[in-house]
Amino acid sequence: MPQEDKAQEPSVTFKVKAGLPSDPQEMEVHAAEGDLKPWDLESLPGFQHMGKPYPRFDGPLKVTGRARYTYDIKLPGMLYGRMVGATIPAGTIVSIDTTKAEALPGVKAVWSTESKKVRFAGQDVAAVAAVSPEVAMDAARLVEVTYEEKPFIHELRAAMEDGAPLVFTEGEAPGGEDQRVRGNVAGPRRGGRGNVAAGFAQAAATIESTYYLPVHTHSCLETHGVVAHWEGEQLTVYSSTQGVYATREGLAEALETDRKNVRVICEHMGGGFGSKLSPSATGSAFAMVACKLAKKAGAPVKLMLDRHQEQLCTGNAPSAQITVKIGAKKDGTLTAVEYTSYGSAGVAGGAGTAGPANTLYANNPNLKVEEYAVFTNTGPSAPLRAPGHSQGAFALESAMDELAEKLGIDPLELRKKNESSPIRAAEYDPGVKAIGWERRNKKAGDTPGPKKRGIGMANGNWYVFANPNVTVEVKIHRDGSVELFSGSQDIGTGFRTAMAVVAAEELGIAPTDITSHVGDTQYPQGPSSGGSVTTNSVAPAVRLAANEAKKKLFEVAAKALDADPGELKSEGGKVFVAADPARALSFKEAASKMPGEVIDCSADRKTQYETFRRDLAGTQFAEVEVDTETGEVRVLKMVSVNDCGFPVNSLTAKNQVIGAMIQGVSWALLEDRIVDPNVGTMVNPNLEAYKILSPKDMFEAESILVPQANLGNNTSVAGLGEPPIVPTLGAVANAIYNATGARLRELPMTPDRVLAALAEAEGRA
Amino acid sequence: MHNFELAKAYTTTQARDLLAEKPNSILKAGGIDVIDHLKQHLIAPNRLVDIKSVSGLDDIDVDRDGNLRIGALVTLARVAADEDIKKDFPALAQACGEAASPQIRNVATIGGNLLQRPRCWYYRLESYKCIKKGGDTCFAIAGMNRYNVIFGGGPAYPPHPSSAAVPLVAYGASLVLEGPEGTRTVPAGEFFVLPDVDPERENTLGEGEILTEIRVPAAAGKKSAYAEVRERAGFDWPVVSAAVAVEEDGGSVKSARIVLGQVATIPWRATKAEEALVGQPLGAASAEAAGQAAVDGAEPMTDNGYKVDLVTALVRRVVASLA
Ligand SMILES: Cc1cc2nc3c(=O)[nH]c(=O)nc-3n(C[C@H](O)[C@H](O)[C@H](O)COP(=O)(O)OP(=O)(O)OC[C@H]3O[C@@H](n4cnc5c(N)ncnc54)[C@H](O)[C@@H]3O)c2cc1C
Repeated sequence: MPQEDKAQEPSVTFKVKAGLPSDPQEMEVHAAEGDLKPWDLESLPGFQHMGKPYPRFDGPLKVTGRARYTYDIKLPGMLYGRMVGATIPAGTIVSIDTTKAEALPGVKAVWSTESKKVRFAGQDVAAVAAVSPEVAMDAARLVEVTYEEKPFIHELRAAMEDGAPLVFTEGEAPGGEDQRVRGNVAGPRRGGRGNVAAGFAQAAATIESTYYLPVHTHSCLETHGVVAHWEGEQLTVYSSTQGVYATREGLAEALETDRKNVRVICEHMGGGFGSKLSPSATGSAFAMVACKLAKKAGAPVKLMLDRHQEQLCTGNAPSAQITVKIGAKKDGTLTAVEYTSYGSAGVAGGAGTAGPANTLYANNPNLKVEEYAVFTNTGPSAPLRAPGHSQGAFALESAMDELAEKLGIDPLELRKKNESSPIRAAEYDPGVKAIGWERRNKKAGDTPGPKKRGIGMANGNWYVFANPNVTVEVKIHRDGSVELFSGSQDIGTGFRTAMAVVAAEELGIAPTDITSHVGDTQYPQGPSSGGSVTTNSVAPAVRLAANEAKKKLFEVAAKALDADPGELKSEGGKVFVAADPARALSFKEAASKMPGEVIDCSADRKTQYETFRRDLAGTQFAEVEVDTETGEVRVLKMVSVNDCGFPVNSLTAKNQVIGAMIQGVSWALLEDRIVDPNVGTMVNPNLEAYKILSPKDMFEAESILVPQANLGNNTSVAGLGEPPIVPTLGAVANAIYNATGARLRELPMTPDRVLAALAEAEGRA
Repeated sequence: MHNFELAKAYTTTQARDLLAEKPNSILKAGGIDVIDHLKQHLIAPNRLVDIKSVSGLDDIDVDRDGNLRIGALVTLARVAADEDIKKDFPALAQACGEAASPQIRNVATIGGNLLQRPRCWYYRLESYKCIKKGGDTCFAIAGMNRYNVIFGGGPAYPPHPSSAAVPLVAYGASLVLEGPEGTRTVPAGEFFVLPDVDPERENTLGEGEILTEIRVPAAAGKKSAYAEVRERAGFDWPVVSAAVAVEEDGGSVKSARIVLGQVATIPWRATKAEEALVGQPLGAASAEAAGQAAVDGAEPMTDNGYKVDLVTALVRRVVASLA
């Protein structure tokens, strides 16, 4: 993610009040020339719309089924595409015979891969396009593939064993030439500071534990897919994507056509969570294939993956085995942390998990980090909501709890003692109050009866990323109606509503007076939705473009009001003389004075500059009930306390946080990609046996946002989509410990694992 | 997709005729399991005979003596909500009410529930040519078997999936089957068969037979209860369930039926546990003894040993709840 701390010269200096309202800090920031004075703590009390709750504009469309998803696109003469995936986990394709498929009536085009090596079951082999989904399915089943099978390895821990079949032969592994690869294990990537040996020597108490998390899949409710439509050289692609521009780039390059010829549209999408950042997916080129099939057939092609395919080739969150050793003084002050992680991203690299270890408790002087990537014959991972951080925080924050227990210190106090972020320091108390921390068991498991309740907590972190390559267009029409345009897509965060809130704040009208158009490469460029960047990358450009438009509106209004444009202000749907509010025009009246038909302003985002904090803080609390006879765990309540700079729309912001907690609890308690060790294919490639939390498992979820002026851009908005999932796994595990005295070090925390941990705890007692 | 005919039947006779008329025809009630099979390419019927439209099979009726009759087409939701069933056959109401999800319970019929096929993932995936699909191995033996059985396995090891079957066997229910050879009534406990009889089936439903009704003898003087363990509270099957029905005589148990679900290839009578109860007063001690005895003969596989502990805990809990 591009991130600049300082604008390039020439720049303007702004003196601002930064940080928390309870503790304002003077700060000087250096914005690029032409940027606006940033919203800071002094702006906060005057906000008309920023941070208020607004229902998402597309809510009614979604609940009434009128929102058009890629899945809903239907074009005249459209064909249906279907991918054929490899049925073996490792080997070579000897032949692909599509004759029978082609001969089937209704089949209009076929595609087959040129690559011969198979490294995971589900890898692209062939594809067909036909007049109906049923014919396409039949045709796909008629494609005959002959393989030469090779030994494979299905899982992280097995892949680390000596003599395990190799996923890659020498020099083939992803991750660059200079990495060390032994067997299936690449790395380590090292990090840290100080001297851990010296740190452990000072420790009064030390704990060391190993934690394990299986592969977790994104399980977006809308599967990956596109509709590809050629009109001459002009290609229109409807895609369920997190990046219309990235898709355009990828497809234009793969199809060897100019970018100008490719238009990508994503009006609504049913979830991405990181798996829809590539033009197709990390483990499939289905979008490119659909475009090729459409060209060949001379007709539009819709190609949606089915759930089974979705589970195999569209990415996942790596499994991980993480060992954490922590030493601390008697009073809880950390003296050393040693963190070793083995993660498996399948056939991909990038299975690191050390983000939380590198960032949390930064006052600890001695840290040693080693991260290894382990290859397995399974689909490649894709970023998943704060990649690697949930895994890492589960291990680190479980270990912190174990340390607290050993030291006889309240786990919350241990964290406070070692807290290095002033923001998180301020987040603890609201969370403590909301969960009722004092109700927790003073001694773990110390309650009568088989059903035991407990409360736990964990911390998480993320970063302030921003993408500077953003342009936004704002139009004020002569009738006073307002539109804004951004190419970025609404991944589900309520992006289009949030952008209207920002424009409304600047223009002095209501968000609902503005129509947002998003998710189309015909609109000005915007970032892919990854890294929690969309809102905070686009919002500052929205403000700039709205400000430009407002200035033009003031010019025409000034004449009518017999004032200077500089004297005017707009608020509450009125344009008026700031010093004499009675001299006013309604926004509509002001617009009607424009000489032409439309005021049309575009603005580029200025570069990111100094922030109050470069990291985002978060802390979470969980209350659970554990049936100690059956091992069933039910989450009763979760509280998440987060900062995201200034929230734009508090309703959708809290939605993000609550959604992250649900996804996190699901990960903690249920989700597990299970691969047969003898055959090498996933046995639960569905949403029935790959279990995600059901409505009946829902708990009370509370989101508390701590607004703070973080600067970095003219809106002081930072990201929020990812951070709230980071602490969830650890918070649930720690709550189970508090309820029962059983330490769950392996996910998912299903009854079998809970019972085993209870038995272990009983053995210890 | 495989093409098939959809034929609607309005009477059971018509349904039987439609079944007999075309080879490879199958019945569809709610369709939850049938459609799954079609979509997963596990079956390729020539005709689906839709019996959802057959009249007279969707009544719940309790006669003057308290005998219960449930038409095969009654939905799980209706069984769960029925006041008579809730009062006299609470284990059945509960088992049906906790199954699956509200949407599924509104569509799924109790007949289809008893006749649904196992959920073992190897059976459900076309790519695994397992012994239940005419292959020669049970992939669960050397594979991933955390949800498989601890009782009654071999040569296949899938748990019987029906929640409703568990209390029905405990209540001594019987099934009315209408077939080409006439109508027969079979005790539920004898209807289900072990895989060593035929690994490709779970019951003795005959060719062309239709389940029309479930009869449950009056519960007078009986105490009963049901409980289950779930990984996921909704949209899922239990990992273990248990139904207990007892009759007391002068402060001690005269007769008992203890039936376990999801741990065996059929609804599993824990006869040793029943024996442990008979002659004892209901209470903590007899509950403990029944729990221990319930796992007699258990043969856990590599990953499902936890089910043994769950059976003990659940039986203990359900029996204790009757005291
Ligand atoms: C996510 C999910 C969770 C579930 N959880 C549970 C659970 O917790 N407990 C549980 O018990 N079930 C559960 N189920 C299964 C569900 O309850 C059954 O699939 C359903 O009850 C089947 O009933 P149906 O009417 O839809 O049967 P259908 O699918 O129509 O038929 C099932 C089978 O029975 C045959 N059949 C149906 N009616 C008759 C008849 N009258 N005579 C002869 N043959 C007949 C059909 O030919 C077919 O072979 C779950 C299902 C899903 C999808």
